Amino acid sequence: MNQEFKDIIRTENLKKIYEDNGVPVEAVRGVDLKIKPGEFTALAGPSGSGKTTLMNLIAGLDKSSQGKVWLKGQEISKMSGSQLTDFRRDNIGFIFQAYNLIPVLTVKENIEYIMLLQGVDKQVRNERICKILNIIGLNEFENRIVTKLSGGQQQRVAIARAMVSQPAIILADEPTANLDSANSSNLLDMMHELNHETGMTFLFSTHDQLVMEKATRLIILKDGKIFDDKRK
Amino acid sequence: MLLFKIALRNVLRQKRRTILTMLTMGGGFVLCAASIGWADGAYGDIIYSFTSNQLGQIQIHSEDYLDNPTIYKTIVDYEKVGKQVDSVEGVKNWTPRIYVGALGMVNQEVSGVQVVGIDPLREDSTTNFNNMVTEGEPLPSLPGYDVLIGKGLAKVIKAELGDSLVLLSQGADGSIANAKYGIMGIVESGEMGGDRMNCYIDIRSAQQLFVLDNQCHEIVITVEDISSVNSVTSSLRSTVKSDKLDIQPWMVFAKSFYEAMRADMNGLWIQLGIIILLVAFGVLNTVLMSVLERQREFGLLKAIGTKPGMIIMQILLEMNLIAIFSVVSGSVVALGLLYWLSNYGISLSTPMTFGGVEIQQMKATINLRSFVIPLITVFATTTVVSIFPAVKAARTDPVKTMRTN
Amino acid sequence: MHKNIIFVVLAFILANIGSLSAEADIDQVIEKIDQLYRSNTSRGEVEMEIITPHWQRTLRMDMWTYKMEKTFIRITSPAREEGFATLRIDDEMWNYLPQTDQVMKIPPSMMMGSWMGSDFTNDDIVRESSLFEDYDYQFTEVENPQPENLYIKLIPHEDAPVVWSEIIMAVGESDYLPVWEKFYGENHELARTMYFRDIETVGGKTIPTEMELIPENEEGQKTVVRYLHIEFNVDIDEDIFSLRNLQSQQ
Repeated sequence: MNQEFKDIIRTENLKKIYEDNGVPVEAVRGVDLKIKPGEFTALAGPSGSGKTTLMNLIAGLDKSSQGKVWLKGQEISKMSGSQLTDFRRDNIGFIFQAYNLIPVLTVKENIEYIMLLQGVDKQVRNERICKILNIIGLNEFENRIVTKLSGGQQQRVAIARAMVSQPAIILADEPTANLDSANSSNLLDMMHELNHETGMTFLFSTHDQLVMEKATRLIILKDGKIFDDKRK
Repeated sequence: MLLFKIALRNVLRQKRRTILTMLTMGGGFVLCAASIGWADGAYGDIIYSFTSNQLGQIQIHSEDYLDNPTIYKTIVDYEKVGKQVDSVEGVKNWTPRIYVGALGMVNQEVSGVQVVGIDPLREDSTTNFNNMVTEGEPLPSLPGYDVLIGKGLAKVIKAELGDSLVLLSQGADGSIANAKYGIMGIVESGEMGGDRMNCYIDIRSAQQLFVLDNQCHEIVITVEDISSVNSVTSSLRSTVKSDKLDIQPWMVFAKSFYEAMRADMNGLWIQLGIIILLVAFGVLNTVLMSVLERQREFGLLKAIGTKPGMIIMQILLEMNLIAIFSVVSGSVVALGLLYWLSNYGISLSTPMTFGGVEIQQMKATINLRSFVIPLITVFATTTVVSIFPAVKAARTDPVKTMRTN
Repeated sequence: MHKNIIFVVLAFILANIGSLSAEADIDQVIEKIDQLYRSNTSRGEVEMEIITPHWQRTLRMDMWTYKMEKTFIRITSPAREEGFATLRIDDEMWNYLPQTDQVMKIPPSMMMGSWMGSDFTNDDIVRESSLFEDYDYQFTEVENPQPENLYIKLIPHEDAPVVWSEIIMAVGESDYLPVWEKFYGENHELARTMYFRDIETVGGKTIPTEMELIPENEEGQKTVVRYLHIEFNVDIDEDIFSLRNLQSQQ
């Protein structure tokens, strides 16, 4: 694995064209993006600007029509399906807008899931879970089935699940979209703190003003292209 | 373990669907188990009564007798052969017989008959022959001019107890075989062809009449356990060492009966096939529904790094868990049902005849295969039917299914 | 011209006479064979030798016939069969069984059964078929024909009481006496062959005195019948052909 990289996320002339009812739609139209380790970046822009598509391409969930993606200096478009799955499992934490959790498992089990796939030691697992539950403030609910939690609580579990395996990158696709402002603020503060503590790289797609305010770098996407990119 | 936990909880979460699926699978299991146990019981009974009545389970003849029986193809010195038969383990009894065609006459009524020379004592202990003597008396233990005739034959030649039966045939030396016998009993074997043809005399009288000293045409053998027929047959073949003798189990000498039974058994398999098909549809319905409504979940699982194989395993595990519940509960029900059917059975209002054997009551049997066959079939069906939806679930594209609305 | 016409007419007439005489020939043959063993009455002594792979035995018997309708046979040896008798009147047949002193009428279903273990069936003993009445006949060809023989194919009328589908008969051209007869079964397969031998003049008739019957599907088996002595058209008490006489053990 190449550890000599300046940019933890890098894209080069990234393009995505997909067909919608037989009409070709150019969702991402040549994006060159460089994100340094530890950045807390918000990817904003109006609906249809290509935020989610870009996120999916970066995550390796979707295949680009043209261009390349490097994560941690590795070109993911060259990886096989199985390699990509393992890479994702070990290096990327996902937080989605909703449906983040495995509904039949408890809080603890959801958080544990990826570590189990990774084959992490039981002791290490328990230490990490204990720690992260403290951070998200859900220690008392560790054995509750996640479907019996509130939306805010569920998103906190999702953050815990995404971060517990200590990935280099957290990709969060509109994580606050279904939350009220108090909950959103709370959640963002928590992520910000974790970013400081762990140095994980956060990339949000969002149109939540609050997220944009808290971000240390704001990239505005418009019509599938970078319209504005500024560091605070 | 995690997979098992997820699968089990998924199964328990959809209680209603799980119970409905269990009813389908368990119902199919019980039906299959009961059908097999029932059929095995009925066939066992049929085989037993068919073979115990007259045929025995194993027969010895002179070579080629079965294909083309003639008076000349005899077992010579059959007492000696009988002693060897007695020494074979698993043999219950044996009895010798002579068969010769003849003309039989009672009071000027003449008909073709089959003279069967039997050893009265051996015949009774081997085939319970005396139980078939429904009128009059069985043959005495000492040879004389006594004859028993089949019920159908008695009707044909208008014979009654006490009448004289004159037999005319030819001895093995070509001489005229002619003698007169007193009818002392009527035989009802339940086998209609035989009852219309047969008249039974002491084998020693028959040997004298047909000039067949110390010879017979057939040795009928019964075994201790009907399922050991084939092994007893092979030990008989190695014990009774004579290449001029032909030793065969009932499946060979009662070939048409055996084949009719097998054909009937095929009917059973078709019936089981239909049951399994119904179960398969039930399982397919369940697995399709549960896969379709959990597409987002599978999308998530894949996005966060779950391999497709694990998703396939998870779904197969879920369905097979339901199958385990179904088979366990189905086994309890099937066991109860078969226990009841094997003890009480069902009486037929009109007796059924199969291969000339009349069956008044049908009873099931409890055997291992009544459970093992449906068990394997239920699991196999469940797995086969679940594989396609499971693969489909494993191919879920997270981008499409996770797209927020 | 006239001469020529007369010649043509003559030739035509001659040709027809020729064909007429040919037809008369086959009728004569058939009539001769029909009459061969037939007489008003006969009385004879017959030996029947039965050969099978399992045993061989010779029966001797006295035999009386009355026209075509009645036959009476009584076995004179060997001892075990002595006294066994068969009476047939028209198409009915009775056996007398001396060992049990019983008379047994042979049921129609048993007519194809063997008579006394021989290759002759009961039906052969009973049969009073007339070739004239029951068969269509014509000259035929056979494989390896002998110049001294005529060959005749007999096909039974549809309603004739006959079990054979066809009979091929070889007849001596000079004496019209049978040489052999081949009997064909239902499926036109050869069922048995009868050979006629030892032509002698007995009781005023010239007949083959030995007949050998060989069934087709029984290997090593045959029956030979020999006339040891025969008289034709002698006075016979008609009482011989009665059930009373059958049972009398004379």
